[in-house]
Amino acid sequence: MKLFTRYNRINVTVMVALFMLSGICYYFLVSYVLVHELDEALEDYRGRIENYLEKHGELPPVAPMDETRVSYKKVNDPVKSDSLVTVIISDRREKRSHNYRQLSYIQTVDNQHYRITLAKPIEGVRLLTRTVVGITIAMLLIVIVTTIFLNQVILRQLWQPFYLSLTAMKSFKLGKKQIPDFPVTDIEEFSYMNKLLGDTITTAESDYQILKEFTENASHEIQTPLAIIRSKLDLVIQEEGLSEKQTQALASIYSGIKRLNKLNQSLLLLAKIENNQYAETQLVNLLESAQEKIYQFQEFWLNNEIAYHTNLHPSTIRANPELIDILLNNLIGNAGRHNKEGGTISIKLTANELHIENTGPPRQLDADRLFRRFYKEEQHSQRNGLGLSIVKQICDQLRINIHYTFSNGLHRFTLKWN
Amino acid sequence: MKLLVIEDEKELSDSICFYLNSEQFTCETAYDYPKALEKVMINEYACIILDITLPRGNGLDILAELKTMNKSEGVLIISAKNSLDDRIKGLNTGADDYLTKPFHLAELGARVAAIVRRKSFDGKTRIAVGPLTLDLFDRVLKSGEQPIALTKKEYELLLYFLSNKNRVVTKEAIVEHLWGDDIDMADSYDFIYSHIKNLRKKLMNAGCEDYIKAVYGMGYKFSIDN
Repeated sequence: MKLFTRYNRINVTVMVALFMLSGICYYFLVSYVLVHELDEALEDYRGRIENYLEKHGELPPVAPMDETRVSYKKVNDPVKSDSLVTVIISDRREKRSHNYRQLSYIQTVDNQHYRITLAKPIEGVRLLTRTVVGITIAMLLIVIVTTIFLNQVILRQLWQPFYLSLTAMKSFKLGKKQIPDFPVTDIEEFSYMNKLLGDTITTAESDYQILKEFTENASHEIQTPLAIIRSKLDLVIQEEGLSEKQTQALASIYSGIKRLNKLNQSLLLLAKIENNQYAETQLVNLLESAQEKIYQFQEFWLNNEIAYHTNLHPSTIRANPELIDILLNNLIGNAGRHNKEGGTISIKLTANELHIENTGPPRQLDADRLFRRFYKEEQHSQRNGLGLSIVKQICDQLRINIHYTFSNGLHRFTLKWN
Repeated sequence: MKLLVIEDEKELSDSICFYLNSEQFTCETAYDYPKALEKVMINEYACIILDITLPRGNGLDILAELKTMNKSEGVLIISAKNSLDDRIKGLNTGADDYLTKPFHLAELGARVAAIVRRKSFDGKTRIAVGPLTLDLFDRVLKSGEQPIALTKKEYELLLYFLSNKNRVVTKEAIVEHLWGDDIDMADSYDFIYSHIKNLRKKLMNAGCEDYIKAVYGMGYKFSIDN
């Protein structure tokens, strides 16, 4: 839910409740004032009757045209009780009932008790209700519309720097060494947020830089001891009369050193690609590069009875030639490496696409994890599981779209670029 | 002929010298920049094996120094850095070849031999292989004037063996030399067996002794006198 929507929802709910409450209060207040006025008028009338009685010694005649209904009723059992109540009196002529404010009291004239009832219609209550409800609804509508309008226009305007910052953050990628351009704003909260974001990014960027340099330096440092070990091994095997056990152990050490070296070089390569050390590009003739790679590998394929089929068309790409070489090497190499005896490899190159298809393990590779570092189909594999993550890294760098599919027992990598 | 190994890692320097020392070569060592510069100024070397990162200086400066002194020594750079940039920088400064650590000593032997051959005054382009001669200029093996047909791989293999004669060379090193570092099809190197077998057969058919000895589980040794 958007902030505005939630804010509007709360705002409108509270406003509706407030207006209802104020409408109700207003209604009661006004009707109380009205009734109070009537009550005073009735008391006033009573006073006038009493004045008349004092002057003339009898009750004043009832005027039917008078707005105030007056009735005298002789009572024999005078209960001295005044009452001031609201009653509903139905009018026979108009066939509707009216609310009246009625004052009733006992008046004694010449020892005769009269119950005098004075009643005044409570007029304007309906109108009042209608008016109050009407005004309330109208105000409510106006306020809601205004609020929504304000939110739409003004709040959006106010939040503009926030959204600009978000857009700037969206294009940010760690390791690109580009700190996003945050909009300048005079709103304290936003400028504080931008400052915090900027500081965090700068710190992250420099930490990341240190980490990358560390990887590169560590890889370089590892090369020298590796070189010493390998050179010493090369000397040891010159010795005459090594036992079979010693030879086997030496062969294992060689293979271990080789793996360690490969791993180290792969990590170094990844670090260098990330460090943008292959940023220089030129127009690379992919047809030539692919042909050359296939030529290099074909001997191994034929040795392993892997049939290969190529369909190559002229194609060029603006890229770093070293990266293209590594990319093709890893992909085309994998097609043979993870194949099976009597299998096939099919390579198709068009102007903007490269398809590499091969037989291999009879099940789909985990497409989600395939390009991750150290992903291995088999845990005991001698390979370091960095080949495809290097491929992915190169593709990302060169803006090549790479996609893996598996169908009919064929593993296929599709590369597309513009 | 004298070689100079400029390498600050003493252990590595020792290995290199031990491996390259032969009837043909004697090795001298320098472990830091001033010592290296001093030796380079005084002596003539057939080939200088040069590490780039040195204590108290940069290997590339030694290269530049050689150039200003108009010395034509062959230089092989051995570096931990394996990028095209470093390679190009090294080669442009006047190095003859570039080898990345960690390397096989056999590979170093082959590279040094190649540099020495290229730099030698007599332009020595023929190597005796028993009764046969390997013509490096025409890239053919000859029995007298009769050429013996070798495939490209067999020729390279023979040259590699000759540069590392009487040394055990691992299959791994052979594969890396002939097919490059990137080509690691499988963890077994048995596929080179057919190339070795064919070369051995051709040499023996041409009247050579059986020079190529398999060293069980390890590699091969090209044993030849002279």
